[in-house]
Amino acid sequence: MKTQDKIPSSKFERAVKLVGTGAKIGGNYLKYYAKKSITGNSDKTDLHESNAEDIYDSLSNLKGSALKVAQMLSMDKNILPRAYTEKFALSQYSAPPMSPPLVIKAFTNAIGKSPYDVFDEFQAKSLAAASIGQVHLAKKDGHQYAVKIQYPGVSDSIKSDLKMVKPIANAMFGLSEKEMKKYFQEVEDKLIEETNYHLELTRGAEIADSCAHIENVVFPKYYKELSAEKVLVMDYLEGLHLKEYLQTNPTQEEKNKFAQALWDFYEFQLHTLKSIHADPHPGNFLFTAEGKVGVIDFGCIKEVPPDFYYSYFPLLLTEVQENPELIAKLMKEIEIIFPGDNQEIVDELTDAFVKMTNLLSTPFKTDKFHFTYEYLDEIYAIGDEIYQIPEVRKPTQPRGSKHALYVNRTYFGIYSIMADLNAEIHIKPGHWKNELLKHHKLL
Amino acid sequence: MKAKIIENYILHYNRSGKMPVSVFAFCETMEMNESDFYNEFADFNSLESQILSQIWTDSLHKVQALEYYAECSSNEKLLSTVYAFVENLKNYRSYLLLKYKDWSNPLEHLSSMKGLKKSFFSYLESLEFENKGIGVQQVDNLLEKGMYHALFTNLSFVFHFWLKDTSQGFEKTDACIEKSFALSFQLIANNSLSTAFDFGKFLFSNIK
Repeated sequence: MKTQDKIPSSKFERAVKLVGTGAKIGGNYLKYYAKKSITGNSDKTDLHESNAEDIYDSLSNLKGSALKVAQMLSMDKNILPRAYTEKFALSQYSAPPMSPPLVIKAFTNAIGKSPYDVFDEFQAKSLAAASIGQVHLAKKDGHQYAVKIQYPGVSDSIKSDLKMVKPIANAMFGLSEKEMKKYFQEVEDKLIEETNYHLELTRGAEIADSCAHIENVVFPKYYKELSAEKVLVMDYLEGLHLKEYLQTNPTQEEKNKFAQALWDFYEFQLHTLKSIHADPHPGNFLFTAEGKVGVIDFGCIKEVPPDFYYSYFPLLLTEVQENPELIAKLMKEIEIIFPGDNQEIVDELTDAFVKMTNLLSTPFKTDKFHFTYEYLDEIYAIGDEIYQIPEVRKPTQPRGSKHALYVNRTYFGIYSIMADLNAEIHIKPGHWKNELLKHHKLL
Repeated sequence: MKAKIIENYILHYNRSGKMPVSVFAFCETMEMNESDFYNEFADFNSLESQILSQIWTDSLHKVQALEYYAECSSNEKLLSTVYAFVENLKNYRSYLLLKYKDWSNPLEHLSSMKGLKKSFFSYLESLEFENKGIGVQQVDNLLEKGMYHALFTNLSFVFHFWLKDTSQGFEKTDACIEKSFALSFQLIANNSLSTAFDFGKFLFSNIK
């Protein structure tokens, strides 16, 4: 792994960097409008590409939560044009590594013993960067362990990092500080949770336990006695990341098998556990030689509150989509429509939202669904269309439940992995369909 | 004997917040002859200047005993020792806070940090950093000295940061070490250090 040659050292320096980015984005928009007024060409791809590049350049130089936000943005394909997404996807694999002495010090501080005393072998150079820490390979009695070590001081820097990312997010989404607040709070809470490896260990073990019956999915075993708040020791799972896996030219049949396993895993989490692994970026899944999906990194778990669950997911069902009264009610419950809204806005937003959910729920309406890039492009296209609505581009109040943030992010992540696998899989709404219909007295 | 004297001195300082009134009074509490004291130290000032350097040397011995240390690059070796040093400082925090908390006039601390500086410099010499000089012996020696001074300034900065650090387990100091030394190493690699040092010296002697 490349060691970055410059680490922005102070909050001030970071701030300068990010302000610089904001200015550059502004410049890109200027260029875009200048070009448009001269050539009449309004293709935004160029614009998105230059923006993505500038944002990526500055975020990739920052560790910790800024990197996390980059990941977050890169996952949310709903809002982000593809140019952004591809650039950001890179940041999922490369963070500046900690120096080996710091790794050893951080481990020793947390565990009370040096990694060389705990393990027979310990690689001080990291295997991979996790957004708030990094992963090291260790061996003991012939068994391989993955040791995740947190960057020191990361939980403290989350708040200040987010503060600095705010102006960029505002620039990108055209939202004001006020509108972003409830979402930023949600992101901040989740990021803080992620710094607690005790929590991750408990949750990882719980999910692994309750999902043990799902076919072709494997989880690492966590080692409580070797872990601490800032060090997490688990089994090392051997496998390929999505991109590497695809380069091996696997058969479609095999890809479908992986995809099905992943889908079943998420379906069970969402509709049975009502709590999901909400960090489905490709780095968190391993494709093992035995044909199983290894799921790692349980730092980001979104618990889906019942109120939100019963208001949001019915919208995926045909029976509900054909019931305008119920839709109107649900739109209010998920905070897209507010009591004071005028009819024009209500109609426009409802139309747009129904259109989007119709498209997103296509997979649920057939026995077998084929995820393709064309399908994803359709989703982007509707996303772009929705974005043209003034009330979406410059909302008068924050619209959309904060809970939707991680749920959407998760599903867009899954959809995009499905498309990368060109997967054709069985998707039949299970028991949850009837449960939701009963809840709304439609059954 | 030396270690024992230092230990008792720190004990006294922690309890009273100041130097003993005389070497005689100090030796009396330790039930030893005044001459034994002078065999090790000229006075309390020279004793104080050896406290940090003693901590440094202890830390160095600790990391040198570690297996991985031998395989490290010079930069990594230095970092390891600095981390161990800061870890060791914890045992003396009360004394160090009393002694160094007031950093408003760093010059005041120059003499008591002299011992540390000496140990630090001789350690740097042993590391044999890659010489990126210009090929003229005298000039390169100067540049090397400049680099040593700059790294020592970095160490003092870290020390000062640690004194004020209130984070859990002083983890912010760890981040401070990582970031500040990364910057120093980069400046050294770029050879910008001599310029920076020169400018620093200019500021130091011209701005009151």
